[in-house]
Amino acid sequence: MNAVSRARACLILLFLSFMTPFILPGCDMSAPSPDNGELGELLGGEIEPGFARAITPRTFHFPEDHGAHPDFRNEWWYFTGNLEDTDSRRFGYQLVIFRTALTPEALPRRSAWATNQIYMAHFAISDLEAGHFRYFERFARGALGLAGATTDPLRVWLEDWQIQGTEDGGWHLRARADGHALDLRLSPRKPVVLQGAAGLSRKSERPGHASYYYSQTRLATRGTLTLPSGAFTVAGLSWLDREWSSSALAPDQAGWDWFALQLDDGYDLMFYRLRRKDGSMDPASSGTLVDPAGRARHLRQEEVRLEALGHWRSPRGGRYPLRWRIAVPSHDLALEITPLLEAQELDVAVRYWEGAIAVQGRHAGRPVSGRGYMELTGYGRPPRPGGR
Amino acid sequence: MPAELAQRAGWRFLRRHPWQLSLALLGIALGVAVVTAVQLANDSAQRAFMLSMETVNGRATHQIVGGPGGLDEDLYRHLRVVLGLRESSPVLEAYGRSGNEALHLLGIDPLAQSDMASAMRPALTVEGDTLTELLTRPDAALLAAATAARLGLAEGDRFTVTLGGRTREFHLVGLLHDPESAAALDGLLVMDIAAAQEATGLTGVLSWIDLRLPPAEAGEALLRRIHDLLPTGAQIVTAASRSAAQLQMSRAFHTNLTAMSLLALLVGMFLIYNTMNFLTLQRRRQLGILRLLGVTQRELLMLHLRETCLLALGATLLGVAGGVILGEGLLALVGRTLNDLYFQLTVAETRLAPATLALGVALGVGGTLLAALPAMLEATATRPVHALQRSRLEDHSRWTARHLTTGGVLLALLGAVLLLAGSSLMMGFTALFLIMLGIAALVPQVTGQAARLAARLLPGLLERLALRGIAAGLSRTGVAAAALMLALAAALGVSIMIASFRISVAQWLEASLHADLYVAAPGLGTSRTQGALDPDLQQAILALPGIRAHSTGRGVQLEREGELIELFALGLSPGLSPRYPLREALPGVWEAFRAGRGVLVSEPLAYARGLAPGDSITLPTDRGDRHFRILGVYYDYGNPGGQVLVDRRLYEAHFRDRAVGGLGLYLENPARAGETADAIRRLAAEHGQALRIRSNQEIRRHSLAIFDRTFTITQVLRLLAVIVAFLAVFSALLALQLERGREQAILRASGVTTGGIWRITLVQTGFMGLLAGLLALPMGMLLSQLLIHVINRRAFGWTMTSHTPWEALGATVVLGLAAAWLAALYPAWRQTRQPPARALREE
Repeated sequence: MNAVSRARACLILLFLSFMTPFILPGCDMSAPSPDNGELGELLGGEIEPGFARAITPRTFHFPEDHGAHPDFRNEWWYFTGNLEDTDSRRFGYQLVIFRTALTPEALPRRSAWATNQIYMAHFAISDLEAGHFRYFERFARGALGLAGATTDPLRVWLEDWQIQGTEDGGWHLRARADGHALDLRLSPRKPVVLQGAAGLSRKSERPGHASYYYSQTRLATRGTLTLPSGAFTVAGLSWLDREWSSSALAPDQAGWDWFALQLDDGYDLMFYRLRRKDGSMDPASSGTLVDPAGRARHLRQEEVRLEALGHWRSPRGGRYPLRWRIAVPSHDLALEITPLLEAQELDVAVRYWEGAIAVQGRHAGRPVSGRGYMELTGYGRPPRPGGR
Repeated sequence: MPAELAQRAGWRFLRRHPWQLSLALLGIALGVAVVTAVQLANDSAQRAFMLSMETVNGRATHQIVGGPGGLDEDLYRHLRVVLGLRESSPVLEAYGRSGNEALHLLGIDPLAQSDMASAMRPALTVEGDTLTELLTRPDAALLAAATAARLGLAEGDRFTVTLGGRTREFHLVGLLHDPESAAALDGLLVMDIAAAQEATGLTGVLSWIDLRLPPAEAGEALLRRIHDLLPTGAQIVTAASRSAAQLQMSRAFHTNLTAMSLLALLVGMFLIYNTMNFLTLQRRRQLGILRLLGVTQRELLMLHLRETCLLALGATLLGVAGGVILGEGLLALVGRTLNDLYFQLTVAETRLAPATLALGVALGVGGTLLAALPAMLEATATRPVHALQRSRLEDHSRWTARHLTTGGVLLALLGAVLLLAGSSLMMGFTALFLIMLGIAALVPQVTGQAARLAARLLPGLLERLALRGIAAGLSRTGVAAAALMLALAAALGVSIMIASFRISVAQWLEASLHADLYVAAPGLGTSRTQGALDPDLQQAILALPGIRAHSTGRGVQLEREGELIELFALGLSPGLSPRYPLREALPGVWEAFRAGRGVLVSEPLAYARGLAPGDSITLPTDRGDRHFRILGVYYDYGNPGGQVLVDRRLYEAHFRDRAVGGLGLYLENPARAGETADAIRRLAAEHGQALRIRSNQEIRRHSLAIFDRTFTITQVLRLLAVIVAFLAVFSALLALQLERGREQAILRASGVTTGGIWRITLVQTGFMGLLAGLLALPMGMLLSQLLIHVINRRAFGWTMTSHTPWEALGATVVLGLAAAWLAALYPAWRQTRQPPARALREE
């Protein structure tokens, strides 16, 4: 079971459901978010017939599966990471490319512009020392070479933002916008982790309500970050989430909280909590603990205890739980999560919080600390009367 | 107290003479109405054009345009992916029709629009499913709400659109709404760029790319980087210069309209002058009495001024209101001409710009005051005792006529100097007006002399009386004759010009159209290229039996440094030689042309750029800018913007474009042209492309029809000027008759019958009408020559052989006579009906 797939499926579907009134009028970053819609209402319901579905486990082949799976409705390449420059100045970054098929089948057409594939990308840099957070959003059609994904050479791009596969099984990321840029080389320190059941991440009892999901949880990262104030030579750790599916959220779900933590004892923890509208945790919530050698242990919902400790009120409205206690007693793991910067909210087509975090706690009797990324959705609108 | 008395007396007088009051009002109102109407039509057309450019350009600062084949779409990918230029957006433009609606198709990338924030922005707020449909359905389209309403279409409906001769069925997935700019959106058909490419058959190309570059240095740097990316043949221009280049094409047309409207106002001013003069003179007695009662000169002047202002203001408002109504009608004519000659435009609304309103009011009030000034000064300056004597006045007016003559000669000379000194169109019009005014100023003097001369020659007593009356009442008769002469001359001059123009065009068509049948692909009407013939269809047509030779034509529009250049590539099958009527050329011009050693330019282009055979012209080819030797200058009345004629082989050597826009077919048996045309129609239907097939006679007819249509508006304005002139004569005669009331009463008392009075009136008016008509002949001829050789040349660069339609000359004299007599009917009738005793008692 994998809620990140759900979570992110929601996200991308939401983007697409809502981007139209935003895209066409011009993507004004300050445009109000679609506060009027409930995720569940929007995304619940049947899977549109015609798209491929994730029903049975599959055998993953690399690098082919790093490329696009256009028969599925949604897909993404999700990079996040914590970096430091030579003077220990800290940064966070996010570079994600989403792909969506508007229709199950691409009609044969003569124009090179014709496509049923749309790409969207988000690029954000958190300048943690200065307390600055900048983000950018882009859309492009998956045609004419404007955006797309190829496996030979391995490349996913949206205009001049691109993700290229490198020979060592890692990545070369490049993006720039308005004086902000990144040029990073990522090389894997652990093998690919198949999430859920061998990469099949179920989302409900119904067949097809699932996604294919894998991660690279520890990618050593070096390169350059550029801000309007100057360029920084940086190093650190990144995380890649890859997922594709055609399914949607359950009607009773309100949002999700996703954590990707990289601990200094070599362990990596991923956990997501799917929140129901009644405030409870959905049983589909789950996680994975990856040991220093890359062996993954699936974590069921009931194995993980999650508690919000403190909140941040967004100036755009909504209240995000940014401080957490997370515990996995079965693995003798207890951590406290603090945001490295509170204002890491992206006010894009759909408003969400995604940012760099720090963790501190104990693991197997020893103190540990670490870094990570956290994604919080569904908080960006005022609570509805009668909700929760 | 006396001033108040004077004021009351003034109004009572006007109330007692409703005819005079109405005529004055009508004169001012008509003049103002014509000017306002023309301004309104011009403004609305230009505004619609600017609006549509704005809608199309959005907030783009620059545009990248391509050569005749359009712009390679790959450039756009380069800009985005390599250069990372976000603020760029691709556009494919075409024109089509659905029912009676002309549609402006814009193919856009909705995802790129977000970065450009175009002016269409508020209108394009569509729901999610609509966007999906727009992007994925090849037939999905958005229509301007107003256009859809006129076509009776609602969201979800299907409708057909003809594009470049092909009929396409579209699915209306949404409407473009924006209350703020409904007019700018009207006629707009928006599709995804993929669907637009497929619907027009223009896959692989863009019409242009919109760019929004930052100002100052950053923009300059970016501009240089874009320059390095541009394929040869593509260029980057500022959006403003592109709009301006388009608008520039039609500017001469608008200037001409304005000048015609000013002519109507000028004639209107004569009417005002006459009326005000009459009103003042009628009141001389009254004024004299008022002066005796102690009203000061200053008070009288102020009183007059106030009266005149009120009158002028009232009439002007009336005129503006009339102008708005008239303007709606004119706008249709203006719009049609613009569409025929310049660019496709949907003018959805008229708007009275504050400037237009101000111009109308200023011209109305200012013109009235100016025209009334002499009469006002005259009346108020006269000493009270003199005011009671009329002979004083006429002595004075003879004196004035002499001064007028001197002034007129000076004016005309000044006009002549201006004519020779400047070369601009506005200067030409100014000179024209000065010359006309100057000559018109001679008319009173000539009228007086002629009347006295005629009086000596004519035998009858009554006739002599009548003619002496004219000479005696010169302040009125002279001016009326001048106004009539001016209107008749203007009408005649314009007639001669149009006739000469038409004959030149007809001769040119005769000399240029050699093929028996012309086949053309209806244009997509993109600003870049003409429609293209399906190559298979072209092969099939040329394979038809009975075709002995053929020519191919391809008209494209090039753009260089913000200027548009029409290029026409002519291909001739072996055995054919080009036979364009030439104005001037180098020796061996056609051999050199066929050998690709140079190009020919049309006369308007040669005039506009001062080009002559032997010079060279720079054209933006697909291989970059190239210089071409000019072998000759040919007559061309078809492209006001000028044209370059190039041999097909030379064209293909410099441009990638291989399309053919039209074919000229030379038949073995021209008598069987109808059968061949039918065969072509069948082939066209098989290939799914509707073609325009015309015999050379049909083209000639069609061209002349467009020609006539273009001049409809001129005819309308001319007619209005004649009406105003007629009113001027009418008012003058009315004044004359009323003034002469006492004299005629004495005549009648002395035994002259009613018939005699009629005779006097008819002789008087007939003489004036005849004189005005005769004087209008040389004046009209002069005017026509100025129009032909100065105005048309400066406006369009056209020369034409002048041709005088003799019947128009006769008609002018007859019209003068008829107008004068017609205007005399009422005053004469009124005179004879009045018992003489009453008129005598009045004194």
